[in-house]
Amino acid sequence: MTDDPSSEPAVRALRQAHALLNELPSSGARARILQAAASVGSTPPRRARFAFGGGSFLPRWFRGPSFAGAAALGFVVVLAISLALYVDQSQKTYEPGAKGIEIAQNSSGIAATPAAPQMPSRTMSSDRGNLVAEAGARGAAALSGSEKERLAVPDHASDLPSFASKPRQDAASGAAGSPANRALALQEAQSASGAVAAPAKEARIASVPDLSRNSVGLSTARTCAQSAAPAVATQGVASEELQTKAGSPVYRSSAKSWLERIEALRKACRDDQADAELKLFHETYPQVPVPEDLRGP
Amino acid sequence: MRAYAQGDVASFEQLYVRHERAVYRFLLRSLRTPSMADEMLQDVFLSVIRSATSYEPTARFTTWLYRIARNRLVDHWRSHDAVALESLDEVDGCDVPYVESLVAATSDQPEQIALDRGRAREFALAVEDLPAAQRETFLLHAESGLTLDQISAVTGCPRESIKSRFRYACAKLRARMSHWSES
Repeated sequence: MTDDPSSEPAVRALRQAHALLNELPSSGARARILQAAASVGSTPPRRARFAFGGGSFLPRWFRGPSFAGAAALGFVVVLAISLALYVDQSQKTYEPGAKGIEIAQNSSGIAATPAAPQMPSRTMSSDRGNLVAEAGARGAAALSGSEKERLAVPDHASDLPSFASKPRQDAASGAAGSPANRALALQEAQSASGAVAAPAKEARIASVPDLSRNSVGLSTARTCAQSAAPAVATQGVASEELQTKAGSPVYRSSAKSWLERIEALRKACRDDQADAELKLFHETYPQVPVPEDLRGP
Repeated sequence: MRAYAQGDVASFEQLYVRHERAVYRFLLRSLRTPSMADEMLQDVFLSVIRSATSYEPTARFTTWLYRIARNRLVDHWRSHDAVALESLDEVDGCDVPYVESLVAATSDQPEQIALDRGRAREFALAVEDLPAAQRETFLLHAESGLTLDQISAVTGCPRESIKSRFRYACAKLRARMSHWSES
């Protein structure tokens, strides 16, 4: 046998027989086949498969449970996105530092700045907790000046602006002559005498520079995008709210910080307050000369 | 076929005219009834139409077409004629010594026999009387021009089995033709 079928007599006989018999399919069968081919061929290829499928022209994925599954999946995706957006929004509006500042205000009576709650409470509360624990462990033992400095100014002292950190340093070093320094000195004496409330008072002392630092830092961060002069003014305004237990602003604890405060008010165009501060400054420090540019217009 | 899948109906008509008679005769010799052959011819070509969009030209179109036709025949026999299905599944389908004797006896027969219409009809009946496996192989090779490898691909049988089936079919048909020359 070869691949050429015509070499076989039976094959040749078969072809002769077919030629003689002339067997053809019926015209009806041919017409139906060609009609079906025309109807399917005239439709787009995607629809071709449905021509014999009971007349349904819906896509296959649109029928049956697959569509329900796709709809459920879409709903779950939308729900997940909404939940993620809600959680993200909640995290943005949550201010964890507000609670800690409120507690500090209630316990020590110190007025906090509006910007202070923006700081995370983790740092403040942990610092305060460390201070309380440390002071409690020491009990009635007297704290040296360096220890007070360490407790009052945690490891962010280098970040502080000069006009905010210096009053604290002055208070810690025991500089006398101003109501603020006298109040701080009184607190130090009480803590050194072994009073029961020593840890709490230490915490109050420590919380004052913390608040000052935080408010100044945040205010600076907020106003850096604006301009230099408003930034200084904002820093001065924030520190204005900080007062010692005796009720006098911190910046009045030294002549230098007081002058910086007046300079900040001038730059912020708050000349009325600057003039008032300048007047008080002259009464407190009559011998200290005031720079020309701070004397007002 | 790819042109038809793109929407060219004329290409399908051309394809149909080319294969219509051969497929019909293949079905008619297998089913023996023109009406059933008509019906199955429609089934075969409607299957082709349905599969046009998913058709992949991995083999000759003729091979693919006759595979569809054979599958339709197997489905038909599975539901109607179990005996024919068994005959189609058997390896050789006949008694080998008998066929060998047939081949030896008809080796000296004339190669060309003139057929009239009556003899042609008788020869067609002789083909229809062949065992299903041999008839299928003979028709696929003689009618459709498929090679042994292509028939092997269509039927799923080994090439050697196809070859022996064809030899047995030809031997039987030549034995029938020898009676015509004697008469």
